[in-house]
Amino acid sequence: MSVKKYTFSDLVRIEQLRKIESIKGEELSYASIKNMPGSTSSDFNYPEFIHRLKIRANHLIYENALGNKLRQPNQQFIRARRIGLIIAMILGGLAASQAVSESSTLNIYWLLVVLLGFNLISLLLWISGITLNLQSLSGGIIAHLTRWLPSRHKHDPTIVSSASHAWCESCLTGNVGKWRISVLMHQLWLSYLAAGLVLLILLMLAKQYNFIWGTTLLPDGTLPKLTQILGSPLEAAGLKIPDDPQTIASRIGTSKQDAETRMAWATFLIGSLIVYGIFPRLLLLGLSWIMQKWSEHRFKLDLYLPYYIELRQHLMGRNVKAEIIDADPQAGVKPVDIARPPENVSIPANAQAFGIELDTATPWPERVVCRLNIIDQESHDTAIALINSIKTPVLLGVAAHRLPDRGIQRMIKELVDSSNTKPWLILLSKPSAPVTSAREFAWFRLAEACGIPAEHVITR
Amino acid sequence: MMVKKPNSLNAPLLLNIAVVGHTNTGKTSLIRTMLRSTEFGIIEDAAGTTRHVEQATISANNEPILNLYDTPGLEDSRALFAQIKKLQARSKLSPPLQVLEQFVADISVSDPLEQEAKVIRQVLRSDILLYIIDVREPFLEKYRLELEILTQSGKPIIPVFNFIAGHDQELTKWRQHLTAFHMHATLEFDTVAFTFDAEKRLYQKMQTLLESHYDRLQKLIDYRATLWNQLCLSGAKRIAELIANVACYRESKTTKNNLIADSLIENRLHDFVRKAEQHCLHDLLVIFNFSEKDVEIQNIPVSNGQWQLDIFAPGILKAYGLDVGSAAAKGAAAGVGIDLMVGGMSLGAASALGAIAGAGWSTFKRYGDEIKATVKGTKWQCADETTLQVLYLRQKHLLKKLMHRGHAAQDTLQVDKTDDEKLPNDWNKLISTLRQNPSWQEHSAARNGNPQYQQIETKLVGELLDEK
Repeated sequence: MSVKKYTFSDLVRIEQLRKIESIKGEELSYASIKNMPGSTSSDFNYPEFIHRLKIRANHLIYENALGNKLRQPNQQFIRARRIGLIIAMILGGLAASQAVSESSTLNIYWLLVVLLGFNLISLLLWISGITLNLQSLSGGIIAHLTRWLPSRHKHDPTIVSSASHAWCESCLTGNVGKWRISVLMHQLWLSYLAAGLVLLILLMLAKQYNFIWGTTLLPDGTLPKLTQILGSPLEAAGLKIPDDPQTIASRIGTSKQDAETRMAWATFLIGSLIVYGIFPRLLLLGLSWIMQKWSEHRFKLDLYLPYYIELRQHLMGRNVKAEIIDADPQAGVKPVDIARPPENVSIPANAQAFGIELDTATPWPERVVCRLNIIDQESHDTAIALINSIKTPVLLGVAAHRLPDRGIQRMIKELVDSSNTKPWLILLSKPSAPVTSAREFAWFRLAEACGIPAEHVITR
Repeated sequence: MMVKKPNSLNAPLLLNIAVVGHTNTGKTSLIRTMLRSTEFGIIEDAAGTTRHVEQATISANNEPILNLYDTPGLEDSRALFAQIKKLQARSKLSPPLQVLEQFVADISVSDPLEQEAKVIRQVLRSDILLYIIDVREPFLEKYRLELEILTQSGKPIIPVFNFIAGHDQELTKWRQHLTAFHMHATLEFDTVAFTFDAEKRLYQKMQTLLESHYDRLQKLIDYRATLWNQLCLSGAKRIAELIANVACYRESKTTKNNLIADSLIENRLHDFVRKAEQHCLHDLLVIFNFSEKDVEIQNIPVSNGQWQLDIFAPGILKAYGLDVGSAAAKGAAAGVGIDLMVGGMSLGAASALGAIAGAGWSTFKRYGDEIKATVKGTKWQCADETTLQVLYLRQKHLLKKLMHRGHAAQDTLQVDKTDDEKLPNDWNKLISTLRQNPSWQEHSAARNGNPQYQQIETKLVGELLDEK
């Protein structure tokens, strides 16, 4: 198995280059890749092809100083993420501070709703988006924005805009994009929750708060019950959560709280935020990160694209490795040039005609009767005996469309040698088999080699 | 005489196949077609074009499976037969194989039968022989002698009938003659009119004759089949991409009743369609390994990178059996070839209303341009129905030709003739869907991930590869 010699970012760079080349290809310089060595493997091999694409891309990037331009979109993404994280932290802090009133009370359920409630809604949307494969649901506004960004049509694209277009296409759409945006989402919510939690701890460290709760719509027993339900995992972990009397004692408008109740509420609050907010987000962040890496690992270039078809031929062009193992000792010896025999040579009177391997469909000229068609050794021997005995001119008919080989040449030579006069050669043709001029010349060459003079060659 | 040992390191593993036959029967052509390469050997319409033994290796996934040996033609089989008979008479007790070995050992460089000796030498070194027959030739004594000599080597022989297209009678005669030699396992493999099935059958015949190589040959068959399917799929996908590219293309037209501007836009559109088609043709040639060089030599109707046939030239529509009576088609034939489409088609207007009514972000995203156009009074121009039809039919025809073109073919690829190519059943639906999505013009992850686009692509690819 071949080793993977490329990373996801290599593929992204290749894609960026594809976009740039398709739009601004004529502005690039290609000098450095002119003499790239040929491929070593005889069959097509995806990793090898990508490796060669990578080498080509690196050369082009270096030669045209595109490095910074190609890195720009990723840097912009990182910068945007940082800004997003800071904004999320500020929002988290603001949400936590909103729960603290001037009278040193801390509205416990308001805080849980602000920090965990919205988080829960976003989490449910994300889960349904992921399970139903609806990116707009799982990524929310971010996904909408990122899906719109690459589709923004620029009338006059530049190298930078093409590079960022390609980056968005490969990094923010498809499977990679789905998980990358998920990672970003979880990071934003984590920083929101973490900022809220840290601020709360700081506030609670510096000041003494009374924990209160109240409800307008719900029956009085609901929130204490909810406290118990939410608190049970914390209790299981050995933490002390408010018991029923402590909960009832914290209802808005009741008397002051003791230190134990405050401690129990603080533990409950911090515990709930960690267990129901930060912990699941961390878990999902980890999962999304793994999935992002996995989909990056599985990311494949669309080799059906014309750009890659062209490059595939160029970089992986299969040169058949042929090897001559039994050489021709006469290699390089060119056949001698030969002049075309005169036209309109007429058939001699009283000629005795012999056919050379003729098929039944090859016609003789009128008035000529074929005495014998030579098809094997026996008929050849008979013909030689006949030719030897006659004094009239001998006419040898060959099928002009057929190829004169050494066997035929030897046969004709033997006939010529046994003849008492210089025989005539006639090139017979049939309408179904056209004769090329190269083929005619092959016969003329044969005639010369057999000692038939040019004026004895009849072309019809 | 110095004869190189063929690939001695891999020799025991690889299957060695000698391609033999009379001169000019298409031995080199067969190997070219099997290698899918126009570069192997020399093909000429002359005797003794190949005068040496040349080896090429076929591998499956970079693992060499077999060696093919191109041999010179057996030109003078009568003399060869006589020589062997003489040797046989001299050493009566020697088995026929030994006589052949002795013949090869005795031959000198200047001997007239040196070329034939090369063939016999390679035959003795090989595991199996492919005996290539030009079925247009009558079954003469010399062919019988060739078969007799080859049989003497004791190697399995597969007679391969070449140039069979349109020569059924001759083929039948040849079959009858070969039966006399107990050669029933023949194969029809036209090196010019290529079919992948024939190639597959060739390997399968070898499998039956060479049991020990069965698994490795099967591996090769499977690999070649995958490769072939990928090749055809690549071609079809490229054409689907062209159709999407042209169908989704549009030019905005802002000036009203300005003839010069109109004709400029028209020219731009024509230019776009022509270039797109040329680009596609180029890619198809690349996919099937018929290079530009090949185009020049073989006069495929492309001159200076241009189709000899212009898609907008009059008469093309008729050749493709399209309805020349329709107004749109008349326009196309006259070189107009373009429909004037208002406001990005009816959906544009509807969506403009929808967006105004607050249909939301996604509507704006999709129809933003149309809304702008409606406000500005811009019109769109796009390639018309007939242009797209011609484009599709031509490309389908071309694809079919390339899929059946052997790499030994020397003739001109005629792509202008009408064939029985048909448009897909729901062609209109496909095209109108494409037209409604101008953003699909270029490849993008969003487009390729769109189920509707995928459906159209699958449909087009399926129809393009459907050879019924």
